[in-house]
Amino acid sequence: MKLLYCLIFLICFSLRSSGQSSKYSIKDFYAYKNELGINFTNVLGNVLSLNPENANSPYGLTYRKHIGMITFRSAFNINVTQREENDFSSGLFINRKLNIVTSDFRIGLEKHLILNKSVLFSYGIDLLGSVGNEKSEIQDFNLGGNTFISTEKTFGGGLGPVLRLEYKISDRIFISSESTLYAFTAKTTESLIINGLPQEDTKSSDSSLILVLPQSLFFNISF
Amino acid sequence: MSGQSEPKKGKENVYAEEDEYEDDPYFWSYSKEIGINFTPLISKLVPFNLGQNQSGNIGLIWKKYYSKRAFRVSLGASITENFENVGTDFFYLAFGLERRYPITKDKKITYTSAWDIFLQGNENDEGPGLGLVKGYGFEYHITKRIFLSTEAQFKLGTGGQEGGPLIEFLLPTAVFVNVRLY
Repeated sequence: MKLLYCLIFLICFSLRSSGQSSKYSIKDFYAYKNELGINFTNVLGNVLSLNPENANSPYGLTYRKHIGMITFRSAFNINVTQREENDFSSGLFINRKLNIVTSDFRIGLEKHLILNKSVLFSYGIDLLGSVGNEKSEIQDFNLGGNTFISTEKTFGGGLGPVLRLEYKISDRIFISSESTLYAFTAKTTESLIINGLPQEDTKSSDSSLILVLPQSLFFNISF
Repeated sequence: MSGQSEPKKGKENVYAEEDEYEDDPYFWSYSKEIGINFTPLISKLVPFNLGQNQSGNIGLIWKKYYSKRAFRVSLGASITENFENVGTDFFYLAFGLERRYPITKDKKITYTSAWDIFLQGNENDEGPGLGLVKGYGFEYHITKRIFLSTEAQFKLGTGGQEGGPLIEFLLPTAVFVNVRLY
């Protein structure tokens, strides 16, 4: 793992030390300072029927702000699910409630190399965060009214380098895709309450190091 | 009348720039290159691919070209503790040397010949694999700074099934979008 990070550091350092010989300046490429992006891959897959595979990026929205040769980058996604059902099947009466809130976000910085007047290559580093809360409540009215409440809370964080290619359609419209190498760790606490009596919490952790290849296309608008 | 013809306006004449450096035999000499495996995205955009695509083990390639040869590093990784991803974890790291040869006179189409030392492993193997790779690549240079590439590989090493030798010929599966840095 240390060897891998040394390697990534060397590559990033090498990119940083590469002089930029392009005749185009960043001000020519980015006429506006703010950029809002949306994951467009599913539109291509579903509406245009190009390829039915779904996008795998957890981020739906991105916001970037250009400050000279450096750009502040951020991305965000939130997923809220609320479901309640009453089950009367087989003469039983069970009430189930499910609440899920998950959110993934990242912030970072990137630098640019202008390849030509329409294509930009960027490299940078991201800090990641993830929170999740899942609460499941089951009330069984058949055997004396048992109640089960299960809660699962997840907190995660990570970091890693990013490489990005962006194509300029016009001064206001860009499309982009990126590759990331994120190291991520998450801790999960699960608790269970049966008939008001709390059971012992269960804690677990997950770690990962994944090189994500470009598989999502973002449609960006500058303003 | 001027003896030199000026480049057409709006069309970048990048290939003529190599003549500025007499010591550099090619326009890629003394440059750095970084390649990103774009197969997953390309497979989404190309309409006649409806199956599950394979991108190969390599995600990133970094090269440093000297006069004619390059030192290169190839990397791919997916390491998780998550039980939902059982059977998908792998790691690939290779160091090697590469040489590029022009096919066409304008050097837009080239092929590469490379030797790598690789280290690889995945969840299903009994041990890590170590060995040599002979690679032959094919490249199309869209501009002097952006080019597409793919590579076939012949692998020879340890880490095969049940600890035996590994002998594999891998046909080109991935399309890399490469960026040249100066």
